[in-house]
Amino acid sequence: MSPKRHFFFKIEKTGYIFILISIGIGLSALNSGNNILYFIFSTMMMFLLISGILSTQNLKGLKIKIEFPNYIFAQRTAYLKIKILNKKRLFPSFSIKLNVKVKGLEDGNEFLLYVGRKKKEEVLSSKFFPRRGLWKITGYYIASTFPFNLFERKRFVEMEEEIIVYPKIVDLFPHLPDEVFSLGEIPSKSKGYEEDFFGLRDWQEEDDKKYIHWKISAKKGKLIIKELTQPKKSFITLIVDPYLSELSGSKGEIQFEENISLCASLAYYFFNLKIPYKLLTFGYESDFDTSESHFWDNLKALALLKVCGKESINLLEEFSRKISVENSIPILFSVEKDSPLRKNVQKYYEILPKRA
Amino acid sequence: MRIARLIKYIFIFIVLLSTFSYNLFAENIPIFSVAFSFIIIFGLWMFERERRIKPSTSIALSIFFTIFFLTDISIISRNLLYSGNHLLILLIFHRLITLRNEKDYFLILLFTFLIISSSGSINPNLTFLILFFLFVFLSVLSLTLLSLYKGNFRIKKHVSLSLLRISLLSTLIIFFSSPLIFFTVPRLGMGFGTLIGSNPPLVSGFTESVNLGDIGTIIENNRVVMRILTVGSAEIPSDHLWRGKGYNHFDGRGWSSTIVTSKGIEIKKRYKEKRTIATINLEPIGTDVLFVPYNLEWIRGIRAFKEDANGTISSPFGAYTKRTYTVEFRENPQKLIPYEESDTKPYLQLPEFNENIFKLAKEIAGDLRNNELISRKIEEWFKKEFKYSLNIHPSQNPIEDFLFKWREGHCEYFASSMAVMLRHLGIPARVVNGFKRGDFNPTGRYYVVREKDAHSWVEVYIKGKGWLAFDPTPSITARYKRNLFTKLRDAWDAVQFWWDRNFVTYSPQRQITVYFGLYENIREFLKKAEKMKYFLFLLLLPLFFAIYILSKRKKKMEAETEEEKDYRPRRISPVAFYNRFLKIVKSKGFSIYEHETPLEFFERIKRSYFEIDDIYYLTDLYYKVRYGGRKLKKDDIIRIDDILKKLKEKK
Repeated sequence: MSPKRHFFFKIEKTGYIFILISIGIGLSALNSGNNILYFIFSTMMMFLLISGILSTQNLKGLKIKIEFPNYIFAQRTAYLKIKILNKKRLFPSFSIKLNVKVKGLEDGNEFLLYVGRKKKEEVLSSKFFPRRGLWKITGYYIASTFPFNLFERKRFVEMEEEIIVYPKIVDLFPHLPDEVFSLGEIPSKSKGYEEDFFGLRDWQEEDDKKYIHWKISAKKGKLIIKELTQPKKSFITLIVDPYLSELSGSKGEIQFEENISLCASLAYYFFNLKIPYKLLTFGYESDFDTSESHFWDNLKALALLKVCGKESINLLEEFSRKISVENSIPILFSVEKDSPLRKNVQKYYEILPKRA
Repeated sequence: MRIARLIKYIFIFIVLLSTFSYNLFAENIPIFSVAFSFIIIFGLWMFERERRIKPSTSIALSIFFTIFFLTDISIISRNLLYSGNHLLILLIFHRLITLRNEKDYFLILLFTFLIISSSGSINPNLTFLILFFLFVFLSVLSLTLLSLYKGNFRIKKHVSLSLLRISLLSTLIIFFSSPLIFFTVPRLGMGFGTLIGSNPPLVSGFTESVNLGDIGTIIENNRVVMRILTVGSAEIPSDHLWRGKGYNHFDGRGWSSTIVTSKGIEIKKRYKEKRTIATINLEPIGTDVLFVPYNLEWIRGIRAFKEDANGTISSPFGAYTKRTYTVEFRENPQKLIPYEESDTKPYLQLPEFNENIFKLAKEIAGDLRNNELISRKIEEWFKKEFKYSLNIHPSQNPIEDFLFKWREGHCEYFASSMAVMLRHLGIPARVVNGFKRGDFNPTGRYYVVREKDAHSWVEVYIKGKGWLAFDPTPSITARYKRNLFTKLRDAWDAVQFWWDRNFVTYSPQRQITVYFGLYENIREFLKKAEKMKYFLFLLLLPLFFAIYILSKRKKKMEAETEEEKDYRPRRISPVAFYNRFLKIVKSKGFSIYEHETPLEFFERIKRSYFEIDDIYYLTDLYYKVRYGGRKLKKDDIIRIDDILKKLKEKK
């Protein structure tokens, strides 16, 4: 199905002046019968006609592709790459205004001076997403006042693209109690190095050279690598409580958003330390993992998480009763004190944003 | 170079162009010409150096310009067009020294356009056309650059060349296609009024009265008075005369016309002689008089013309504009105005009877009794005995001094002396002013009559015939030799004439003729086409084939390449099916709340719908696709469609 296109035509202030002057000259020609005025009037009419033809040609054959950055975070400027291809064989395009329309965001024009015939150009469009979540791109505008600044011709191409804006990643130190940073590590009771010896095997190309056992390698005449055990790490469960009563109002909403931001930041912290963790919230539960895809899936879930009101309290009760946090350290992010999750999850660490 | 800089230089050129145009065509007070040129040059200097005046100075200048305009229109120029032009120049100056943004550039362009237009409407010659072309080109270029101005980018060479190409192409298209509109815009006759004060500068060389001595000052002037185009490029004899005004009254030093009776021109009877049809394109000459040939049969293309008792044909309309009219005349060696018998007394009038002149006339006439023969003899006597000279001697009795003392002079002396001599003999005679045939322009194949061709001669009333023309002035030596300069001048004049003929003097009558001509041509073509339809079909076959090939090629060119497919905007959301589901249940009265998750929505509506499994399937699939990165399979799509169809049909 080809995308819907809408065409707009706007007369600029200069265009109005030009039309008024044309009418004036036309009337003077009629009034005086002066052929030079008729000639000037005809030239002005042709001027308008050529302006229309050129402006149509200018936007014709332009193909736009919008490339989004892989990860967009809330409250950070994201740069959308707009690629523009001029399909025309004969005419270049000039003075192109581009605007990617994101529902809920203000318009901001990008300007491209010249796109040669059969040539591609790129322009970056900055967008600032104030909050996490799903943002809809409804389409894009390309507009131009070329050639004479008398009219603006605009084309709107409908799109139905969605982008996920991840929660804001913050610096955790000012917000979280110090003990949280050592949560993932279990201190070793015996003396020794950072990891235990596990075994020996042949060196492979992807292995780090610092683990080569040089002595045995010399004996065997081939490279042998020393394998160590994984550091002992405990499992973390990040629990985000979506419950928010009506009484908490906008303050509660802000705190909820901050909780999500902290959770995402903590997930990022554990992911960097390769500490296995999982995310648990109403309607979403991941496995314990340390992989990158696991991290982004969790971030996506956090980005799309919605607040649950009182009408969902029964469902939340049911859900929280089923929660099991055995063999892991639960960290709870909750706004409401009487939340069903808070009641049902035992021995959790609670993270509350530090207030300045 | 940066765009702003480029625009600046183009605007300097545009302003200079408009100032030049204003000086060339519009100014009538020379001191203003100099003063305004200096003002503009000063303004341009400030503009180039980017020096701006303070807002308070700007206001003071605006007040001064308003006062100047009011004084100019009421006391100095007393003409809206000239005062308007002066004001426009001051406004351009004001903008140049206060310029801040694009809007100011546009205003400067507007003011210069108005100056060039008004100058051109006053004096629409070929130079105007060239200046106007240049102006259109520069305007196109500057407006194009202004539309790119937003970022004041540094403009690369290939971009500026591309812009230059587009601007030139646009100008050529605008310029050469505008005649299509020009010729088709309906004309309303002469219009309801004329432009206030738009009288063009007049071509001199013709006066309403004859004062002996005047002609000598303008006789060598090469300015064009009229151009004559004959049908079928018919040749006009070299002694041909374009008759202007006849004079009956002589006061001893000059001639004037004192008979005011006039009548409409009658259609003359058809003669057997060969006839010539000529179109006369008359420059603004500031007189009602129309210049016509002798032996005139008819005159067309001009409104309300009349002929007075002195044989002067005139029309009160368009004395200050270029006029075009067509005449038909017989090619007869005798230059004649047939006229019915009337009172000849005014043509025998003399300020006083001069015995010497009478004696001289009698002596030349000898025994001859026939008025025509006497006139011929006197004409020949002048040609033989007198010399042509531009020297003018101050005199109280110019005719007597010319005949008996100087024996040299220019055409007015010859014509006046002969007429006076004939009147002494009792033969009715009058002096006529007009023009000689003029030079043939081989480039345009027409005759050009210039101011230097102004001439005076005599008309004698011959009973039974009418008024016969006699030219007693001895012929001057050969006309100019054709050299490179004259060839260039002829070529320039030919283009000027083409411009005048087709644009400047394009009239409603001509428009009707063109329309009818076009209609007739089409009708004739269709008639012919009817007869030759099979031949035409064969002729058009390759054309259709070419169109078919071209359209196929265009389609091929427009087809999307693999790379272009990549540029196709995405329309289908991966969870579009869930949106469709929401739309269906909304039409049944269930809307999802803003705060509600799909799972919550499912819990809420599951009691109202029997298709719980189906709705759960859609909700679950939504979660999997949205959050789990699952892609829809063919089976999913079939099932979704079935479920949605079922839900839609449910009442």
